[in-house]
Parts: sequence; C-alpha cells; structure tokens
Amino acid sequence: MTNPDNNSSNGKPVFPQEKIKIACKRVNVYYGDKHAIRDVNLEIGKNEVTAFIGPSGCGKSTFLRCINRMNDTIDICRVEGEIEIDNENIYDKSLDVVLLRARVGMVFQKPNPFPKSIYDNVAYGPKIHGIASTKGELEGIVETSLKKAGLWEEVNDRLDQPGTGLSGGQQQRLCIARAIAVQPEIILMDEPCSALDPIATAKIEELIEELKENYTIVIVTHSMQQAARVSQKTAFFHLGDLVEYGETEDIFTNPVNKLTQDYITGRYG
Amino acid sequence: MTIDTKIKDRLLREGLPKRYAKEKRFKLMGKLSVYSAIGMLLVLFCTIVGNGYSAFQQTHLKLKIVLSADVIDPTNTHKKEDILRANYQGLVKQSLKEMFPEVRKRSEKKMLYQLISPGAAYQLQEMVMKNKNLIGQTVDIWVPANDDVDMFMKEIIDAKTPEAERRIKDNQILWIKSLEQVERIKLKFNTAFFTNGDSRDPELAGIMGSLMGSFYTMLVTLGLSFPLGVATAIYLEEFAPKNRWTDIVEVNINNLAAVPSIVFGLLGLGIFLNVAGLPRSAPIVGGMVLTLMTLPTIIISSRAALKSVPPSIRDAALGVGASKMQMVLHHVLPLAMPGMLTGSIIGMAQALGETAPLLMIGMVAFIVDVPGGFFDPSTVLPVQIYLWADSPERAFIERTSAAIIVLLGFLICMNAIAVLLRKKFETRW
Amino acid sequence: MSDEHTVKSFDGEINRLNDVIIEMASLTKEQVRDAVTVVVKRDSELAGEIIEKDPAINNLELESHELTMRLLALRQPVAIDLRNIVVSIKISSDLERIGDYAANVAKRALVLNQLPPVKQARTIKNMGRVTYDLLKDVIDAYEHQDVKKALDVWHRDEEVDDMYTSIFRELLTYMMEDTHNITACTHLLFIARNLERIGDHATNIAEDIHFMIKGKPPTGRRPMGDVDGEFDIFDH
Repeated sequence: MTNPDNNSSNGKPVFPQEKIKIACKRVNVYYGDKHAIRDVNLEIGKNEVTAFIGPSGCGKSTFLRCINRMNDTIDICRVEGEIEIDNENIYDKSLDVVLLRARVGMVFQKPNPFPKSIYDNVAYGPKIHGIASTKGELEGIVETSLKKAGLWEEVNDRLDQPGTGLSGGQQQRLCIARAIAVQPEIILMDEPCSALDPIATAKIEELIEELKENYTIVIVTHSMQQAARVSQKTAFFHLGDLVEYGETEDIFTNPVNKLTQDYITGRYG
Repeated sequence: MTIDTKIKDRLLREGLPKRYAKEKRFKLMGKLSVYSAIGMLLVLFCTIVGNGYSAFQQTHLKLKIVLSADVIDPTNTHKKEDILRANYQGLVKQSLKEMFPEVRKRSEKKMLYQLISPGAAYQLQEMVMKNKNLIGQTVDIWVPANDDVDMFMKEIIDAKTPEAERRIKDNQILWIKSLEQVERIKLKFNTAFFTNGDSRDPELAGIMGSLMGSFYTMLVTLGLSFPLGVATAIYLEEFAPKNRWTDIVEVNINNLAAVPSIVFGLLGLGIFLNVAGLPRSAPIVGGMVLTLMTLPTIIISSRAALKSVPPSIRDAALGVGASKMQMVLHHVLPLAMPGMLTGSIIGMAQALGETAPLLMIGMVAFIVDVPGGFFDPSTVLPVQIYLWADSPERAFIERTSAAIIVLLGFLICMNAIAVLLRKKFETRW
Repeated sequence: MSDEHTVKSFDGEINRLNDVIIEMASLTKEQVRDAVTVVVKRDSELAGEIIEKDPAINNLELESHELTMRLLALRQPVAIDLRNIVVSIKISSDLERIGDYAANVAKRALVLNQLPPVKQARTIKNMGRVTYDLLKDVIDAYEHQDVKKALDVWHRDEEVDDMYTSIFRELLTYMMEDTHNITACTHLLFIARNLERIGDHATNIAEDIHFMIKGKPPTGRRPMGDVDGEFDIFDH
C-alpha cells in the first residue's frame, strides 16, 4: 500500500486550455471542525459528462454543491480555495450567487418539482431571471426546455396540471427541464436516478447523453455502472480526498490506485 | 445456539395468550379513556344547553295601547325632543289598568305594573319615533314581560312554593292565568338577546354589545398578531443566523407561550393605558393585549409550519437561481400557509375565550351601549359571561348558559375553519 | 486475488473459473508432453490415448465459457475482475487450440510410425522439450500471477521460432536428397509447424497474463527495464 496522493495525479486527464470549463484549485471544505474535502485539484472539460463516485460520506456531493455554491446555505460550511468557471473564480466576493446559479443548474437526488403546474415549474426560472420578455417567448422557452428534457410528448396536453402528479421519472425529467429553462452552461446532478426504476433511469441516462452536446454535466452517482455508462471522465473520492481522476474507460478497466480498484470491484469493506 | 423447533413452538405458544391479553388490556384502557372523555364532554354540553336553551325564548305580553296625542305630543309641536320626552311609561300603565279595571289598590296596581318589563316603554318610544303617524292611533303590541313572569312562564318559579318565598305573588299568577286565557301572554323568540347590549334587567340584556366588542378585539388581534407573528417566524426560521442571540430569542418566545395570561393584562395596564394613554375598556387595547398573548403561539406554529416544508423545495428554488427572499415568498410560504393559518386560528380561538388579561384593562365594566368602533368602551363575550354569572337574578343563569352556547358555537366555527383551511390548502409533495 | 470481495460468492465463482482454466492447462500440458513422446518413442498406443483425451479439453473450454458468461451477466465485473474474466476466455481458447495441435501431432505420429524412422526425430525432440517448457512456464505464471515469468516466456518464443526455421531447412534438404523421405518429412514438417504454433499460443497466453495483471499488453521485443522498479499494486 502506498500513499494514494502519489497516484492521484497519475491518470489525471490533461485538457487543452480552451477545453477546460471548470477548474478547481486546492479546494478545501470544512463542516464546522470536520475537514470534508481536502485539497482537491480537478479540471472538468467542456461538453463532457464527468462522474463523481465514491463511498457514502466521501465528499462527492459536498464537492458538487461547491460548484454552484449551494453550500452557502449551510451556516457551518466553509469553502477554501478557488473554483473557476471559464477562468472566473466563483468564490470571488464580486460574483453574485444568483447569477452563478443561473449559469450552473442543478438536479437533485429526489425529484423535487414545485407543487405547481408543469408549466409554472419550467417557467419559474426564466420568469425570475427575466429571460423572457413576453408571454409567447416564455411559452417558447417552456416548450423547448420540455422537448430537450424529452418530456414534451408526454405532457404537452396537460401543462396546467400539477408537476407532482407525474411519475418519478417524469418528475425528474421535469426538474431537468426546469434547470435547462434557465439556459445554464453547466448542469450538476446529484444522484439523479437514485429514486427511479431502471427504465426511468435509462431515459435519464439517454437524456444526459443528448444534453452533453450543449452542456457541461457533472454527475454524482452511487451506481458505478451508471458512471461507466454515461460519463467520459470519472473521479473517485474517498474520505474527502480525490483519489483518482481519469478517463472513465481507464478507471473501469485499469484503475491506477488500489483504493479505486477495491471500490469499483466491490472489495471495499 | 439453536433450540429444537418443537420446544421453540411450545415456548411461543405458551407466551402467546399473555401477549394478546396485554394488548387487549391496553386497547380496553384506550377505549375507556376515549369514552370517558366523550362522556364528560356530553355532560358539559347537556348541562349548558339544558340551562341555556330557554334563554332563546322570552315571555311577551300583548298590550293594547292608545297612543293619544294628548300624552305624546300635547302641544302638537311634532318636535323630536318633545316626542322623545313623552310619558310612555304612563301609556303602558294605562293599558294595563284598562285590561284589569278591578285592580284599585295602590299596592296591587304596583304589582300589576311589575308584570311588564321597563323596556316596554322604550320599545313604545322607539316605535313612535320611527313612525310618527301612529300618534293618535290605538295599537296592539307585544312587549317583554318582567323576568320574574318569564321565569314563572318557563316553570322555573314553582307556584307550589309558599307565597312569601316566591317572587311572583298569588294575584300576579291570577292575572297571568287570565291573560293566558285570552292569549295575551306567550313565549316568543328572544330577539332582544341577540340585538341588545347589557342591561340590569335580564329580559332586556343581550349579547350584542359583547359580541361586537369581541369582534373588534379579535380584528385588532388578528390584524396585529398574524403579520407580526408570521414575519417573526420567517425571519427567525429563514434569515436569522443561528447563534446565541437567536437561541435566547427562541427560548424566550417559548417561555412567553407559557406565561399566565393575566401577566399580559398587567403589562397592558402598565404600558398601553398608563404610559401610552389609550382609552380604558376599549377593544383596541384589548386587542393589543391579546396580541401579546397569541404572538408566541402564532410564532411557534408558524415556525413549525416553515420547518415542515421539505428542504428539497428550498434546494429546487435556490437551484434555479431564486434569491432567498424569492425562495421564501414563492415556495416556502405558500406551502407553510395552511399550517400558519391553522396555528393562528387556534391562537385566535384561545384569545376569543380569554378573560383574565381583559379584566386588568377595564373591559369588565358594565356597558349598555353596543360599541361602534375600536375606541368605544366595550366588553367581550367571556367577560360578559363572567358578569352574568355573578348576577343574582334567576333569569341571568339561563342567559349565562346561552352566552356560553354562543361562544362555544363561535369556537367550533373557528376550529372548523382551521380544519377546512388545512384540508383545502394542504399540498402533497 | 489478494483481497476478497464483499460479496463472497463472487470470489467463489471467479475461483471456480480459474480452477477450470488451470485444470484445462494441466491437461493440455500433459497432451503436449505425450505428443512429443509419441513422436520420439514411436508409441502408437499413447497416440491413441491423446486423441481420445482431446474432447475432454473441448468440454472444459465450454464449461469455462459458461462460467464466464454467467459472471459477465450477473456480476458486471470491472477493472481486475473484468480483465481476469476476459483473459480467461482468451486463454481457454488458446489452450483448446494447443490441445488440437497436440492431437494433430499424435495423428501424424501414427502415420509416421507406419513408415521407416527418420533421423530428424532428435531435433523434433529438442523442439518439443523447449515448447513444452514454454507451456509449462506460462501455466505456472498464470497459476501464480507471475508477470515476470510470463514475460520470460514471451521472450523465449523466439527460440522456438528459430528451431522451427532450422528444422524446416533441414527437412527440405532431406527431401531433396531422397524423394522417398518426402512423406515422412512432410509429416515431420507439420509436426514442427504444430509445435511452433503451440509456442505462439503460449506466447499469447503470456501476453494475456501480462494484460490481466498490468492492464496493458507487453511492449517492445526486449525485456522492459522498468519492470522491476515499477510500482506494482498487486505485489503483496
């Protein structure tokens, strides 16, 4: 057994400068006294799907939530280091968090549509940001967002019905449509399929594949098969450390680090 | 270690009756307590309704009154003041005299006049004031009987008791009997109870004054405590940093909810009356005092309602880039509203039934007039009940119960509204 | 494997697969050894045994394929497990081919035994021994997850190739000298060719072992200098 830090950089993918969408530099996160993320350096490529895997409590979700500063809402949470999106530090004092979240959308573990109509769910984001100036424009945004989320065919005749009345998979796609409606550059997904059945999961995975063309996607998942299926790059976190980061193919055929190997092959005790 | 299946089976079987017996006993105890609670409630309701339902009827006498112009408007001025000042009492007495011409003795006459409520003269006056054309005509009108007559008619005063111990004398009974024969005395619906203010005469006393007092007081309480309480709850729950200072505030709010209500009355007396110089006995002050009392309840229930909104909704709103304020106003508040409303209505119901703090600020005064605004002196329903319960007249007992019925009716309505609101706005997510 | 899976039955199934491969390997090893013996000692009876035993190897291959399919379908293996299983498929078919070659050698030996003996049997014996050693070592390497040994086999294959070339030339000369030798020499040539193929398959297996353990095929034609110093996560 050797020090995992030696190897964490071994397989790290190197991006040309113009391909880097998110660059994290020496990111540390503390929950009160607990050091939740240790010195993570990571670059995420444009129009790619990057998966974060790792055992529960390894900090992958925490790290994901740093990217759109969702951790701000937790009083005891403190973030150090820099996260740059297009070379702009999102933890800079001059950056407004509302603007950041309009650029970085998020989809959560449990489908959480607002208890409002399907239309209102999707229209909410553009409305508060003032993206659409007329009603027609707003309707257009709702339609394209629902189409992009692959939900339009299923719901176009009942847009005024509550979003909570849809099935779990449809709700999650509605949440994706809601995120897309704000026209973000990055979509963060925090275990988006953990509450869904395999068919709904497959639909979401197919959707992720399509969305990749226009968005940079970061996905946290407990299912390693899912990470293997949808992502181009995979990062393995363990106890707050980024243990290994590389091409998904390499991680799942020939991981460099023993911890990664043990985790993905099911030898993790 | 494994036990033989047969032995295990036997052991389990042996223990089974004991387990089931325990469960049965527990269920029985539960049922018993529920039934005893229902029983007590029933007894309470039966007593109150049994005592009070008769107050909704009142004995009236039919009098034939000659509204002679000589008495009402002797100088023929048609002036308001003159008509107002006329001797209506005399007209009523005259009418009684004509009905029973055989009564001559002064003492007997007095007893005869006692059959009629003093309110009869006012009723007459009001009637004439409304329609001056009646002057000079002869009218048949129903006027309220005295409370003692009322009690006799409702058989609460027993004719068999010795005359000396009876408030209704033998000859009065005779007159009543003779009036009954010509159907000039009977029980009618007691409108006065719902339209009049308080009075020393039970037959004239009504709950309108205290009802309006309660209404204005509640209006002030609701208008102040709901926005204040909800705003406090939102600030504490959503915006305030969690530190020692907010902890202290929280503990104090919880403590306030447990403070005896009379203390709030003292506070109101000390600050609203003595320092701020607001009028005594006024709904505005009552409302403010009750606001102090209900605020903790509303704050606590509102905070609970806010807490019950799932964090996933907050995440969702923040995730699409809503500001904190937008998150609260657009998503959290609508979801928490039913809970807040329920809490507030229950707080209001509590305030509606409150007496102690109002005693301190003078809302216990005897006030005949129906209040017309927030600054008029008034009482409230529970205080009215307290006042009547204290009165010696036999007829006030039934009125006390009747007022309780009305108060309970209001409370039931408010709670029903709370339940309905919760049902209606409850959203599943 | 060094560590155990959290799900123990997964280990059981992988071990069963490896056992089948090893059983197949030792059977194949014996077949090759006996085939060479048949040629050298002109033992027709043994040749018959070899031909009879060949289907057993085929059956083992089928069994290993079944186990592999099952593991792939039910366990979704990744990383080392995935490589182990994929390599098992390849090794089993290599071994099956080797078995076939051994049987073919035995069949040709039966024909040779009907003809007068040829001098070249000695050279064939040498080549047979070298090939057998190659096979034996590669199977050892598989059993013990030994990359070094596997690489060693991979390099030694050249030796077999060289021997084959020289035997080929020799036999060609004999055939030109005396046309009566042509039948026997042709059979010998094919036997040599079969042995050379066995060597190639052994090399394939060596490559597979390297891939299984290292995650990549061996590179270059010379021993890699960094092998010893390389960080080996499976070294325990």
